[in-house]
Amino acid sequence: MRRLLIAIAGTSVLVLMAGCAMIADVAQMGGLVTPQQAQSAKVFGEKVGKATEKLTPENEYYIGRSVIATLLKEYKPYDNSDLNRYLNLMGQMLAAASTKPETFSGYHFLALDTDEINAFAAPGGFIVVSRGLLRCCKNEDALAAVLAHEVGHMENNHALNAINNSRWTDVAKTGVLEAGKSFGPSQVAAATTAFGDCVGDIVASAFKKGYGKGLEYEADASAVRIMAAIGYNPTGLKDMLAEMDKTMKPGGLGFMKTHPAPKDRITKIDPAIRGCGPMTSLKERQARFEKAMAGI
Amino acid sequence: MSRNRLLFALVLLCSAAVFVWAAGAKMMNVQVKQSELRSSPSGLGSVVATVRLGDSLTVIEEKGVWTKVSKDDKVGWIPTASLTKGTVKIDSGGKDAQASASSDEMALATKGFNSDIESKFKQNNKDIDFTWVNKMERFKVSLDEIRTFMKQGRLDAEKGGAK
Repeated sequence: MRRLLIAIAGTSVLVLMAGCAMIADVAQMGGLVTPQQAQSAKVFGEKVGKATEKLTPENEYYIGRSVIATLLKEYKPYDNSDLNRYLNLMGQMLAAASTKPETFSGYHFLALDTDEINAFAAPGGFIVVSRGLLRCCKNEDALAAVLAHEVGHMENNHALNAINNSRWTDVAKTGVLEAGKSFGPSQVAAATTAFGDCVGDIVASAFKKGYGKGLEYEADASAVRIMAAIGYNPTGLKDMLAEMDKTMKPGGLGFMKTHPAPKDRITKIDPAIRGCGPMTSLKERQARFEKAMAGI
Repeated sequence: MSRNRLLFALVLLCSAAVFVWAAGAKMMNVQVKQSELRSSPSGLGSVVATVRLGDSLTVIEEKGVWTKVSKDDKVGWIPTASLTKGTVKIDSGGKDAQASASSDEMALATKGFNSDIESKFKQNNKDIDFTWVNKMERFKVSLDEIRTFMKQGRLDAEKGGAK
């Protein structure tokens, strides 16, 4: 009996401790405690629960905005409203079929006016694709592969992984991610520096260093699944990679520097697409694809 | 301490634990700017209701990356990643702030990487132009437009892509 009582009491205490963060929020909302008291209780609850501080979707959104704005210093947007609308229809449709169908402010796609073969997914769902890469797509299914690959990076949070581990220490020092904490000017300055460093790390990975082969293969695997889920033939990815292989020049910029060789990517996805059959470009899809891509 | 008092204290402790567990398991807050409750756990499911940043929802069940919730008399599915157990403060510094904030809320809003930090970042990097980022954000398509696009392209999510 005594052991049973001890067990019940122990379990109850654990449940109460785990619920401390929630109690703090509820109590503060109800005006039962001061913000400081609520914050102390919350911090205690999180420590007990070993909760790991993470970026919120809103934090990711603001990082992503600055990453894209920084990239657009180097790469001009391709101001073609028909094409950008087409990319957004396809891209947002593919994102809806992914395991990350939503971001803080939704997915948004933009073509870049460069011959370089490149594409990038920034945190928050801001995705850019170069004209050079668009030219590697000979049909809509191939273009779907490009966009689904970028959504695949979003699914797996690859851009955030590109942030140097040491940055998180800097971010933690600023207290920037601590809920309920207000800042003085020096802390805001430190937080802004940490923010700029995070943005810089992602930009460097995007168009210079790359994420590494493993993460690119992971995004390809996601692309195959997303394409199949929406009704595209995943063989479109293989066709696009084969075209890219013909177009890429040794020593080139963009994917040549940041991605595995197209042939290696084809080898990796081959088992997953073997049963999908060859690409047959449907008349309806091909017509709208060619219309949207005219002049690319 | 007598046996009765010990039992009484234990009952109180258990009751509090059950309350916390029940309350913690049921309510979550929306942590994206806007989301839809859908009739099925899919981004292509019909829209049942629209919810906004900070809305509190009652959790019914989870399935994969989706959570079934209710708000008022509406029941639908929402991506689990769009929900948080924590409180959500409206970023009163942002142009999209949905509520006017008291001075306390203003102080609390100054956390995380938010519009305040972005403003400072812009001040420090005057050569970075956000015009096209803002234009990108205006590229939006509706579920009806996506469905029409799928129909016209003979895309069928039910059949999948294997030919």
